[in-house]
Amino acid sequence: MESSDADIVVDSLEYPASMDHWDSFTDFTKSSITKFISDSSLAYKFFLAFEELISNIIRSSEKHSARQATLAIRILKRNLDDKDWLVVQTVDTGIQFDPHYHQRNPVDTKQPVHERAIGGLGIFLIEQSVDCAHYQWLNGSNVNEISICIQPVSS
Amino acid sequence: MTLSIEITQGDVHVTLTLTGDVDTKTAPELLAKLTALELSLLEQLRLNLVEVDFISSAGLRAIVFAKQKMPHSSRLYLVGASEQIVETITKTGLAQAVVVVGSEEEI
Repeated sequence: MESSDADIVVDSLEYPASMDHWDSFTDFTKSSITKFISDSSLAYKFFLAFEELISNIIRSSEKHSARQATLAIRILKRNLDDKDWLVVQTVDTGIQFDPHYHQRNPVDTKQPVHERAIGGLGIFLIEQSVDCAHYQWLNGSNVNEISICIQPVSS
Repeated sequence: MTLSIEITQGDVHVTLTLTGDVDTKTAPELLAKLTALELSLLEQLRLNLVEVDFISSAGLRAIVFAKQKMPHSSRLYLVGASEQIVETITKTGLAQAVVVVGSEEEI
């Protein structure tokens, strides 16, 4: 999904990308999501995708702690193709990491649990939980966007 | 968000009653409690999730860890999980490894 000049920034937040600020990031975003999405099931999925997204960013930042990354979160409302979308955009200054949404080998959900590898579940859940997940490397930052349609086209 | 975990030892099972969210921040606490159990000897583990609102992949990994350490013949019950949590578990294919029940009376 391409960003648009018609984006409305509803709210934003920026802190160092560390677990010290975990509650600030999650409380802020959960509050915004529940403000705009009344369907609790949809809100749960969107927050789940967000949690998985910042988990990857913060764990990567702490793993490469010599480089203190920042994480900015922007809550956007976007009108595209006559639909309203709620977008959570993250901009982090950590090492470059492209999650390759929808281009990875899918998690084999039929694989017996005793043979399961640990990795890959987070990105899989992002892909499964939102309408659109997008990544780009822009001006030296990782920019991730997860989006959910909040107003389908009326028939 | 915090997570509290209460452990109850039954005759043939152990019950972990969780209250709170199981996310990236709190899942290590669940993993630590599970690691402290003698999982390789445990035939039945019950995770009471009635008071849990949210589980991310970090929590699912702790559940997978427990099941991988338990005997093949063992049973891992998820008790009282919300619709959204059950959906996440089903979506990731972990429903094959656990038994989802509404209450402990169903076991």
